Amino acid sequence: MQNTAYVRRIFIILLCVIVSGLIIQRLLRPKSFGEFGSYRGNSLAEIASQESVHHGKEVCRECHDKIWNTHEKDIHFSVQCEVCHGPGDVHVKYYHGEVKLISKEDAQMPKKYTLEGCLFCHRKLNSRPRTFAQIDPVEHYQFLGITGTDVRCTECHSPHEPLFLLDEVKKARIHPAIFECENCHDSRPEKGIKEVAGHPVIFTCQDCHPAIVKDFTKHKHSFMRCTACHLFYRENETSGRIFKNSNQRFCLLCHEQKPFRDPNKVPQIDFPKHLEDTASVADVNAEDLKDNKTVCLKCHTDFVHDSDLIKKIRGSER
Amino acid sequence: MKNEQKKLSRRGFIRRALYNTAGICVGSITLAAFGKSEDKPIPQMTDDLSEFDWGFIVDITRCIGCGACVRACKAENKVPDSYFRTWVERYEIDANEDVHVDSPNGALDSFKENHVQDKHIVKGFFVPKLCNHCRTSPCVQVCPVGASFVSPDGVVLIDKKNCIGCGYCVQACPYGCRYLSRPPGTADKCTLCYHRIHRGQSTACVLACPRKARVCGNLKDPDSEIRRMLNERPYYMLKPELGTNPKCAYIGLDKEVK
Repeated sequence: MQNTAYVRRIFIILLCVIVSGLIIQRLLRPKSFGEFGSYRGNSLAEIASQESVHHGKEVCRECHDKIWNTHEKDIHFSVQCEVCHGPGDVHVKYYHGEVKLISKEDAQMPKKYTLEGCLFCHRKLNSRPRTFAQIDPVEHYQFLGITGTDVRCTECHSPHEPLFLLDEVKKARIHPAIFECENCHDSRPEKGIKEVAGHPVIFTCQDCHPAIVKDFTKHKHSFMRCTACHLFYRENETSGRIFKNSNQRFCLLCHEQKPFRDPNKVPQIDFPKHLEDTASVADVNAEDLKDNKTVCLKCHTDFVHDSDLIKKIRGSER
Repeated sequence: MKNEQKKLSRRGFIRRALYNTAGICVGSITLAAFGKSEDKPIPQMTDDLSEFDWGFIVDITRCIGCGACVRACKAENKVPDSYFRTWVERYEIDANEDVHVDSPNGALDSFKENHVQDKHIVKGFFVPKLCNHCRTSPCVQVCPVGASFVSPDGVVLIDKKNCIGCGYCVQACPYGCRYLSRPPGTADKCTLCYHRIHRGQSTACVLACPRKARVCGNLKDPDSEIRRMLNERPYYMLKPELGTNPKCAYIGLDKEVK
């Protein structure tokens, strides 16, 4: 009898330990533990319930469709509104009526311009892919005859359509990759390829377009590269798209009269007054301007190359 | 006889009082443990998580180091100053094959100037980094309280309610993707914008990238962009030799990137 009582006592103690263990485990272990794995299953839904702060440019379109359409036509279309303006969080919620306890001023999006905003992407750096458009502000200002260093990018480049040439990109045919001196050299060498003995032969514009290049060298812009106007948009290692660009707004990026430009360096015109002044000789009307047609080159073909040259050549071939 | 029944000794009284107290305690604890449900209604996941396996691609050949992803991530997830869930490293390799790496303030304000001024740089590129959401995560393995876990849809997450802030996972991550956030003193990391991807939105960094150098998507969807890119482009992972099975693929990864 003595032995039985001993065993019973052990079993009672064991039972108590197991029951209390179960109770403690039940108390300490979260309810949803083990739903998906050895963790609290509800934490997934908790993490997923965080509020979104960025809304994407489609939400901006609901109210700002005019600016949105302008921006969509620009080559910067892939830059979201929120990249420059900051997250639309409170602004969107306020105008969607989701928050009411803040003032209209607090719901404003920042519009402040900063030079850094443009240079985040376009500052010239050794590590940046050389095919990506990048500038050294000092060089860029010197080239354009801009005096003073506090001139904003937005003085010439409209903030929502800095280069407005997306249509031209889309219309452009695939062109073999264009390599410039800087693709191999650190900076533009002083001597041309032909002046350096033993330089590997490479394709240049004139190998395929000899007549145009020859004609171009006679004109005033001959100091510039072809790609200064015919921008090249590289799509992969071997090819890209070159714009057949003759948009008058592109000419005006350099030649529009601005107080900060040195007129001795870059000839400037007062636009669109210039058109009124020359209305008697120039066959330009308001419709042309709306459609961004080739307005400048109607008169100024002698400043670049003969725009009809290709047609003439092709005509003679036929 | 009557007097004897009514009489309760002091010892007996104390014994009964103790038994009663113990009984009340056990009863209330049992009720608390098995009785009621949690007070607050908990949001439930509506998606079938087994249909998803989230992956990420970084295309180094397209990255221009603008830091838009870093800024977007900071704002979206309210990441405290000087901590980063994603950051951009700059690699500059000179003619002597010396590698110069920097990431000033995680590239939050992009890069102001060339890091190496006096040497001829022959090669340079930017490498955006973020949590690799490894399939066999060392950070999950070391967590003593089960607060770090891999979700059924393949995202490494932290249950901040259970995290005790011991920092083991911060030390265990071979990619340096975790940090201890103070307050509240818990570990924190990239959630692959878990709140966004389950609403059909892309992650904040993918949304912000102006060059489409980042792609996030469902690896189980054969028509997804991420699947198409992984099928078409050569890629590599960071530190695959560690056996962590990272899910963040890098296109154009250089051997110098660690």
